[in-house]
Amino acid sequence: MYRDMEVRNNNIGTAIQYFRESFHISQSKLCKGICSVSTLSRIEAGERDVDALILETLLERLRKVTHHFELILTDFDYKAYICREEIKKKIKDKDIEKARKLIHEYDKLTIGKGSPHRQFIMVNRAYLNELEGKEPKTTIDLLMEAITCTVPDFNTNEIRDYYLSVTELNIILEILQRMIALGMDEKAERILNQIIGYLYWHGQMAYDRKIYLKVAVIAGKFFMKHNKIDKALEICDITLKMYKGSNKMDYIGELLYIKAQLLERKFIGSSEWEPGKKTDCLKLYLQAYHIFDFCEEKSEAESIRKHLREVYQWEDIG
Amino acid sequence: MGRYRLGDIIRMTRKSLSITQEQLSEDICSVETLSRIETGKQNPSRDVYELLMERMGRVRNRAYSILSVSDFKVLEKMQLFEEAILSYDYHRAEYILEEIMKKPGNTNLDKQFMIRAKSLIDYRMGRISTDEFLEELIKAIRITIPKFGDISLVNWPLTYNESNIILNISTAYAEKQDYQKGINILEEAYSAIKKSYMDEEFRITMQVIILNNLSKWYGLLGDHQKAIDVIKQGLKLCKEYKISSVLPNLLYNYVWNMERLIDKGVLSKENKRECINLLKQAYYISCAVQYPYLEQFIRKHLQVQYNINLL
Repeated sequence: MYRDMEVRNNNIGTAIQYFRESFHISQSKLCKGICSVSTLSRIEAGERDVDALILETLLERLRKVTHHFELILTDFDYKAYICREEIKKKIKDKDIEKARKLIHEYDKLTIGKGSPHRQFIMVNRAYLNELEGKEPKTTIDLLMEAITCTVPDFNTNEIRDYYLSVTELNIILEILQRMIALGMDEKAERILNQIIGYLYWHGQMAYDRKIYLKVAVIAGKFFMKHNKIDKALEICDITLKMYKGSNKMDYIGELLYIKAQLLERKFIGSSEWEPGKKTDCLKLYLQAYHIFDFCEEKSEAESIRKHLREVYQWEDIG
Repeated sequence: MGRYRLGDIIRMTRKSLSITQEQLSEDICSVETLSRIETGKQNPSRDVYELLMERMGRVRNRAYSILSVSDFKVLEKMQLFEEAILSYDYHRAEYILEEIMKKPGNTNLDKQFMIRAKSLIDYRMGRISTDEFLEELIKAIRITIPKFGDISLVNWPLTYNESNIILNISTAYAEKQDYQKGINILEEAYSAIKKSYMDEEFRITMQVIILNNLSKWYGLLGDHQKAIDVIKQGLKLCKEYKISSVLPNLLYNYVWNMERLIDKGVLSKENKRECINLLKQAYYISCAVQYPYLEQFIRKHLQVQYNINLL
């Protein structure tokens, strides 16, 4: 009896069931695109050995980042995990040949192992396509194929009904950024509004802060370009408040830079452009500058430096 | 927290207890099988895995993705506890710990967590002395590493919890002004953590925190050059992984050590310019990442030491 209890408590399936029920999510909504309801039932009952990436994706859809758990992997799971890490690294290092070879190996290794593995492969093929300097539209198509691995009706329906993992949201954001870069603004705006709506709708289930920052940077830039200053500012302010307590700097330089530009646009040339407001903008620019400067994002740092010199006659930038 | 390989878990647990493969495998499986399991060439059946772990006094866990404490609800609270500690909110941390204690788990890892958590709170709230704190921490670490202190941890795949305890132990030594002992422990933990299976983000953050402490203690021992070298390593990691947690502290420590070297005449007075620039950088980064305490602290330093008033 005691032993049964212990096994039950130590089972990831029990965890999935617990978190799913505490968020009032049905089994079918949670596993849509990942596995069948009957498989999820068996996972929750702890009856079946399941692929670790499927378990991780399910946990991630419940906002449980896997590094909050200590996972002990079987050798297959470990091999696949190491291979994924290697692929990510090769892509990051722009090592096209090795990345292509590893993706091919991963494909063979994980054949028939489920949609999250397919998704991983398609995403990295998209990155590979980009590194090789091939057609940007193909990159978007590959990313679209990737997201439809686990969100089969992405193109036709709202995403609101899904419970998306950070990985899935990131793929959607990758698509969005590339659409904006190619000037596909109409399609992009539709997806952007869907994401903002989604995050608002699912607000009670806190995501990793990075996602909000990433969305805010994309949205801030997009709405600034389309002259929706107040909407963009509102998004910046909400996100900056949420950022407090984070220990990472990703996107914070960008967000402060956007906020500075938005405030400046709002007030410059108006009667409200007084010394106090000017100092606020200047301070934001300086914060953004120092983040960029430290992270060696040289072109951003240089454009702020130039702007401060020309518009604020500010030379004392260190 | 991270992903650990089954074979490695068995091997390291066995080594920590100083038992041989023969002793562990007797009546469970053959020595050859155990050897294959430990090197990852073969997966143990669930029964074999559980029997091996049980013989070593560990929880009998499933042979795949598992949680290492008795209850994931506890695990969630442990996460909140660490967050409270990191933001120096000891009252909240204590409240969370009390919640955990209401339904305490009974695995070794639960016990290890609770001994550390309780003594950390008691120490930070001034209820126990540094020596008592140290004693409790060593008790905690010896639950999973019985030979702690006698064996080298350089190649140990430390868990998140173990790493935290070791960090606390080194801090306790530093607070007893035994900086050298603190440094020795951290240098060893640093190479272990680099090799552990901890999730990259957790691992790098921990590395940066270690480097920050090392730089402080090297500085206090008067080895400013070594301190600066360590800070440079830390800054490099912060830059590469965009970690802000102790970044302003590292920049400030950089200045503090440079100022000492200027006082001693090792560096020329012209280096003051660089100090000012670093302090400004530290100040604006503190503002950007919303660390109000450091913001004020650095602002004041610039005012008092350099007569500079920021915006």
